[in-house]
Amino acid sequence: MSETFYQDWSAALRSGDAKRLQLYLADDSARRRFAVYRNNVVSAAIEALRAGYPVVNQLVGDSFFSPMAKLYWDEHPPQTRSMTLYGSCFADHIAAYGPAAELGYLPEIARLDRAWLETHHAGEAEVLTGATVSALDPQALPSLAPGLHPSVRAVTLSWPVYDIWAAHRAARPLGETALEPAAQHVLLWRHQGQIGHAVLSPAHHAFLGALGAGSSLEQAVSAASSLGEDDDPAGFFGHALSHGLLAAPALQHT
Amino acid sequence: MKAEKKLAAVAASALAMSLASAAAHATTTTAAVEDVEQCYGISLAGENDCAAGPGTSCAGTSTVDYQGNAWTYVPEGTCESIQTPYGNGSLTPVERGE
Repeated sequence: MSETFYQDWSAALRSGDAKRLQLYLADDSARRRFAVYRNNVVSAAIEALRAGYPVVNQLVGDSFFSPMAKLYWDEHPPQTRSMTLYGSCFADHIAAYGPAAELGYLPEIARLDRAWLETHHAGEAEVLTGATVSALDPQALPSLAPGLHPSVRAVTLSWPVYDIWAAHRAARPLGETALEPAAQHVLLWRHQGQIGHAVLSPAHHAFLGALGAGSSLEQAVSAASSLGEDDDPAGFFGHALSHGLLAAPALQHT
Repeated sequence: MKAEKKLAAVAASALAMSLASAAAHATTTTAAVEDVEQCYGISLAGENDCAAGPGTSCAGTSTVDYQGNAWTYVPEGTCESIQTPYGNGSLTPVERGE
């Protein structure tokens, strides 16, 4: 098949206008089948987004979600064969979507849904355990730079929607809730096959952020302490080990 | 200068000790192989079927195109119970934009 065919096919698929396919489609029934095919392509994308953003969908309902997702497909068609991680810019799309303008917190809900999906599908890696660390010379610990497990996502939100999001995820009923814009840090991670999530204090967020950027424990503790809170970062190091947040650094094997 | 250096050394050592103590108190569960493999199968019901599900069904045998009326939709989910300084998004239909 020629290059022209693929261009025509792709244009018709995107626009729904099959005129340019006249050459290739033998008769009306072929054109009807093309319409069915295209509809399946679009609805597969919409349903992939609905599956990836379940709390967004619950908050606005199916009939609001579908056209919002359709418009996303128009502007960001899938770039890979797998739809598993389709929708990476959906939060920004919602932020720019007129009918959702009053729901200023909705993009933040989408960021949490996205982080959950990425945490769920992230690759495996060897976890740094308390036992491994305890076997090291304590004097070497401050210069250790563990890095984060690939499943760890730290999300900074501009609306504190964590409780609302978590209630929907757990299918807990949501009572009347008042919400105002404010920063909130949320951590998501996968440990032993289970996804965990929790609100992070600014200090702990800074601690993990520094480790994620390749800093040593000493630098990470100092980044956390500079926020002037008395959240004990060294103690948080213990929690990070218990929950499998840290990746075993390659250094220690060499 | 010497005193400062000494102080820094003491602080570093204190940090080393508190890190070591934190590590000692960390729960030392090691993931068994089967636990690790489980994570490829975990999903909340109905949430992980997007790769193989919708596109392969005949979900859309009627051609739906939302484009024309996208701006008339009003949210109708649980967002109605969330009040913000800007409203809850469910009271007024949004007029078609430019």
